[in-house]
Amino acid sequence: MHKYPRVFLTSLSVAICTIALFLCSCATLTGPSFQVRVQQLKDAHVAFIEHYTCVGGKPATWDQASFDSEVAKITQQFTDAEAAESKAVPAHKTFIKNSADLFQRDAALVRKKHCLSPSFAANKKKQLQQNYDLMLKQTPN
Amino acid sequence: MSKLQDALDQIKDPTVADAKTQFEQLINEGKAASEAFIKSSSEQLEQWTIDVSNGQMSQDEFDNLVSSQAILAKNFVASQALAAQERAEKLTIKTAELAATKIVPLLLIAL
Repeated sequence: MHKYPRVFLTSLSVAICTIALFLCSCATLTGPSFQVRVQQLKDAHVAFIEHYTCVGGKPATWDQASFDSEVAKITQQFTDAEAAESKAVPAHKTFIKNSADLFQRDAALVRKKHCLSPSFAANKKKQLQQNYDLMLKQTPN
Repeated sequence: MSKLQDALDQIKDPTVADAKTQFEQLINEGKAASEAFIKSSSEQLEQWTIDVSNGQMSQDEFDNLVSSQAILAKNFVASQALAAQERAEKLTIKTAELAATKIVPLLLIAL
């Protein structure tokens, strides 16, 4: 038998509580931040599509510098989000990498056409919703 | 008659009659699937084909949607059990490829 059972049990309880609190804090720090990052990427990507949708069948005035700056800014968001992901969850990194690839394809299309048809924009927004929401729903809060 | 059939009827080339039938069957099979991803992908692909047939989307735009969907579908297929992967690939990636290579180019010529 243990000589001081109460002290032993108290120490054990404190240790268990400390580990539990540590695990909870980890979950709080990694879970939501990934979700927030994915939501921010989704918002930026959808806003980009909306920005370059043809209005009344005509392209808005084309500003190459503004376009390049916007693409660079969103590309950086994807790079930062990928870098922020730990190697412990490779699926998260792969998801962000694939989503960045989707964005680059859309940026290339806008660069070529200068504006997107309203039909394409509506279809693309559905596709982006399918992409980002799939990951957002899979990730627990 | 469905909107998709209306769209496919614009293609008169008899050499792609089998491809048209196969595409329609794959779309219907996908729309009836229990997996939300496959169902949604088939519904979207059907809508894209209809939009192209109505002149509301260009070939570039259609190709962008198809190539992007292939990236999404690869993730989905990989997440499926091994036995279900072949069917998932057929109803998502292969159906989109069939549309992009055999259906939509002729649909654009028929417009």
